[in-house]
Amino acid sequence: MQAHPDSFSPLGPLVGPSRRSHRMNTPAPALSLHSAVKRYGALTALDGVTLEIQPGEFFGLLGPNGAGKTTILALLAGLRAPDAGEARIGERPAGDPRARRELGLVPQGLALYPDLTAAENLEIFGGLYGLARSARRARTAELLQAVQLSDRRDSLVRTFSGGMMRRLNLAAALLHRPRLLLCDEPTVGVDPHSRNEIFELLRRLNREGVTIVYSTHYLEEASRLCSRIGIIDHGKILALGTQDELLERLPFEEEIRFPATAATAGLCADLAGLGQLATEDGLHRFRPAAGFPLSAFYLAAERRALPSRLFACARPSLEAVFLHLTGKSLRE
Amino acid sequence: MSPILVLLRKDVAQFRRDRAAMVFAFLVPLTMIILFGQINGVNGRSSMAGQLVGGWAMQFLLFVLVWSANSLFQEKDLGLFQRILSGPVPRSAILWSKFLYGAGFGLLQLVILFAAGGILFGLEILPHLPVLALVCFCAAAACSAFGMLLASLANTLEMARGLSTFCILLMSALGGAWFPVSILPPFLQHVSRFTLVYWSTLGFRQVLWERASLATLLPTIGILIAMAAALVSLAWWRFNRSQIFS
Repeated sequence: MQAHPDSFSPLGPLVGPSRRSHRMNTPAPALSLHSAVKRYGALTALDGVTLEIQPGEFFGLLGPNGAGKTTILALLAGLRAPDAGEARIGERPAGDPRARRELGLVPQGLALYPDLTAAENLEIFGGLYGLARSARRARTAELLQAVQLSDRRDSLVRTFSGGMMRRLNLAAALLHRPRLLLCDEPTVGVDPHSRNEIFELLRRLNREGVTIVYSTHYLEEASRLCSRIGIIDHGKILALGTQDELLERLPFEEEIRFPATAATAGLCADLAGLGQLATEDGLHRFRPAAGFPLSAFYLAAERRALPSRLFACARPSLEAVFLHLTGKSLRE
Repeated sequence: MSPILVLLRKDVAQFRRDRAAMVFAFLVPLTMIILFGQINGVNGRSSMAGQLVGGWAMQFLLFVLVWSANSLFQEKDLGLFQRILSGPVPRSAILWSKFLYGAGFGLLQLVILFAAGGILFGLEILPHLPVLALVCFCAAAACSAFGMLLASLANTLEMARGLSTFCILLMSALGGAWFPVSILPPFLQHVSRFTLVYWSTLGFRQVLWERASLATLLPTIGILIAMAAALVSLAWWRFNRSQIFS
């Protein structure tokens, strides 16, 4: 999902005009971590993470809660310093005042003043970035329109729904037209409508040249949005690549889904040791081990007199990759 | 506009919306002043008037400013510091804005309550307004610094609330907010000199009862400024080692 040079934006660009030229002239990665280690007491939150994110990428950090996603974003945002290794924004160390101006952070919490209006919140955050009054007002109006909150500009934030707060949370990170956007689980607790609006806005920003790092534990979000994904667990990047590259790591190309009923229980027993069997929402997913032919599966099903209509082959998801890499489900 | 001013404006806007804080800052102390003024038969010709108004004003100023400093915990919990500090805003801007807001707000609260004292008890405010405002500002700055120190010492909002309630009531009693220090035992009279309430109420009495000149007031003002500087320095030092900005 790289920037599209001919993208048209009816609301005017959400990022400044100099972004693309900057991208073309900057050989360094937009963001990088080199052997970054971060410890909180006895807990090692990041264990030698090395990561490079190129300008214009929509990069996903996928992992369960406590995997180290937020710590990576905190290092890149300059909120914490690594105990070893380094974090860089372009060619500058993270935390450098000029690097901070290029960054927008969408924190996991709703980092808004609940007793102020939507417009007041945006004007305050714009003011903190040194925007002049007229620029602040214009930008506030533009962003409220972009997140479809223009009609609520003078409403107190504490009266907003969760989805509206999340949209405003995103808008508050865009006031200074950042070149890089760090999103820490920006759709937690959001209704599908608001989630889609957030996705659309992020896609548009990315088309306009903003490099986005998107942390999530929802694999559907990572696969829908991100051009490249890093799978993280226990403070380590386990795999890195496009969705196709990650799926290629699996020892099987397709998984077989069938209902989890009493009738199929015997088949499950037959399949033990022949691959991974996961059960979720009343559905078994059989992921065959390397070298196990699908024909053998159907033969086993036939022996159990199970009709073929029960079975469906499907392309595996990132969930299967996570399970393959860690031996556990992303939801565990 | 500097980040300190932006954050100051934010605090003012939040206060304007907070009716409970307005009631607690102005209406409640005014009620106490009227009530105890009636009980004690206070009038403008007695030294009790300045003592009464200044004492209650100081106690409620401390409560309001400590709560204001404690809002740092709420802002932390909301994730606001993450957003603010990921931008080009230093931690010191957050702390300075809280301190200046407290000092400015305290000045306003004290002046309004003294003006009410003038109307209710005939306290002569206008002839001494500039000097009184100066003492009020120094007292408010010391209170603001004290509130920040308490917030910096606590690890959680609950701990800060408990600690501050205890310290404010103790300091108000010892410092002469409720009754003149002269009725305390000699040992406690010495202890009271370590409280900012003592020096603030002394300053109010010097201005309103003794009609002291600025030169006479300088030691009192100097001590209040020194207290504010020491408390705010300690608070800064503590905040830099605490987890509140992490």
